Amino acid sequence: MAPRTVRLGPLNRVEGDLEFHLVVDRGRVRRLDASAVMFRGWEIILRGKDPWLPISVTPRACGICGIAHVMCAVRTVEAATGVAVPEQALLLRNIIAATEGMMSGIRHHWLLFGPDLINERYRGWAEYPELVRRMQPLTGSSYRAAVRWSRRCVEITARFAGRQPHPTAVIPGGILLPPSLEEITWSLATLRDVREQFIEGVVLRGSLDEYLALERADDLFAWLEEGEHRQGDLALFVRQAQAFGLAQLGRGAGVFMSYPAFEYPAGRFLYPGGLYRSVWLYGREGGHVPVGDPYEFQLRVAEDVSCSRYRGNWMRHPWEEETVPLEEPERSKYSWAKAPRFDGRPVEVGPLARLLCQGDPLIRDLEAALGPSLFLRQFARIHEVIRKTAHVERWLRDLDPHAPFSADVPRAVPDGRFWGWHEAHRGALCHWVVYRDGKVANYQIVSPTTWNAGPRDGRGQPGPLEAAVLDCPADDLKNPVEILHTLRSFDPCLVCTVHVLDGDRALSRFRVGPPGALEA
Amino acid sequence: MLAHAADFLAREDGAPHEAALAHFAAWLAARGLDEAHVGQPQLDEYLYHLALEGANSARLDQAVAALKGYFAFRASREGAPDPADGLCYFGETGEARERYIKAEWALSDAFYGIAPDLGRRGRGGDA
Repeated sequence: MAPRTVRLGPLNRVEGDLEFHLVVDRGRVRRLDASAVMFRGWEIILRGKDPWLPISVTPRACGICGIAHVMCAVRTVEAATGVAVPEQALLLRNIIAATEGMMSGIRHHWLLFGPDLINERYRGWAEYPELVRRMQPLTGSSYRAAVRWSRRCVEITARFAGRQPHPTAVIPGGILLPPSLEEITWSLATLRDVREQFIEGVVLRGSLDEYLALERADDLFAWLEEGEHRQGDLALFVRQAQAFGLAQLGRGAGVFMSYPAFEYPAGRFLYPGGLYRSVWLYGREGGHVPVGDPYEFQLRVAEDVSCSRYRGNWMRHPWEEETVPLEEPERSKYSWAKAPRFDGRPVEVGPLARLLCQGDPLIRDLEAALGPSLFLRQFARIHEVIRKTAHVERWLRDLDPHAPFSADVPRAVPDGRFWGWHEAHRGALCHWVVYRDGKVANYQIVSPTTWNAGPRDGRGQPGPLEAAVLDCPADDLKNPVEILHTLRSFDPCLVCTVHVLDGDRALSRFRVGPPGALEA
Repeated sequence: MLAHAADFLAREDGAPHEAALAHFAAWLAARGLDEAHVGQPQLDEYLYHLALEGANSARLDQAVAALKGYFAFRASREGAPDPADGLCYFGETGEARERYIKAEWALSDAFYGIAPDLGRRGRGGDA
């Protein structure tokens, strides 16, 4: 049988729509082209503008990750002006960004990834009815809990960031207004609600502190099967992954990258960043390589446009880039996304990358035991939400409303080349900027979804997401659930409805509806 | 024990508030404070103390309800100011939060010098 080409989409991402062209042969995926189908041109919008303008413009790149963008934008100005941000402002920024990440992580697993877990493929599983009762979109108990409690997380974000989306309080030098004691009090109580009602009540069905003490894969699996813990959503997800081999799918190239992020106290980072090569895949050559000199580290980033709809066929550092879109490019230029590379190679970013680089003992042990996979990518996302609950609580306790929350920053920005980086929920985000004559001469945003879902480069190397789907089972093209799991495990900002297309013909439509309405 | 607690609890059928007021009284005593000198800053600090102890929003709301009830009762008896009048229940928007929401500096074109002729009028639709 001849290879078939299948189009899968739309799968939305942070800055627009994504779709995928698959070549399937003998029941396996042999090639995938990830195509960003919309051009937005932030780099062009910002050219020639005031150096402070990106602070209010770039958070509008995304209604979900606006905090992450404003963090990067203010850091470019802070880097240029050399301002030292007060420690309490660092702390408050961490709280703002971490609660945004918690919201995103919860919504991704329960609202975007979760509907695939009740795919009809799993109908024969003994726990399927319970799974549907919990995960059914709109009506499932866990689905509804995720809607409610993710909203409460982002209430904390909005309380301190001024509003969310489109924050106003994060400014160069710190935070616009210091928090009041009342705001700290209610944020602590809000977080306590999230912890008791969602993390401990729905996800774990057990103590957060007990869970955080787990450092080994075997201990985790034993704990999840103890007593009430077995009823938690996390235990159910792990059992489903074990029953259907989800820890053997969507491995990818196994090379991960993250930036230093969540600084507090000054000079120390919750996530120190760096590179991590899978120990499971690469054995003794695997492991963590620290960031070292931040300037040198960021210099190792480049973007390739050989398969992107831009003029030229170059790979350049963002400071050297140009953004000239092509209206009618040749066929090989199949995506509006550029192809980011680190040392010339594709790397995966996201919660799994962050936690591996950080040295999280449980995630490192799971990676060594099971290898990277769509399961581990998703487990890491949930694990990070759980851990951030404890981090944010500690940070809120450390807030001192009487301390300084901002430092004076000169309005004029010197000419030069600067960068501001952060870890958005979906992974490494960085803004690179060139200031010339007091204006923005070049502004380049390299976002997490671009890292993960970027196209091939001039050497033919697929992007991380393109690589992860290779060899994935594709026996049932009307319901390619393994492929959907893999794509969504990268969290490319999906919508709930996915249309699977064969040429121009719709093969299947996955509907959101009440229990019993799962059929296509 | 707070000066008017017994009368308040008796009049208001205030059993639900009894534990909350006892906890507040113990906190005042531990800090060497007299209820006559309690203002909203002390009440804010007490609620913060509860949050540090691990109170969720329901427990904080219970405490706010008890404090509002008690100090309103005391104010009616003594004709004194009510220090709990400005306390917010969970989810209410106080003035401080409105200041954030209305912070429009970041949206002002004039601030960035890209639309100087608009002056204070800002974007279309603004008066």
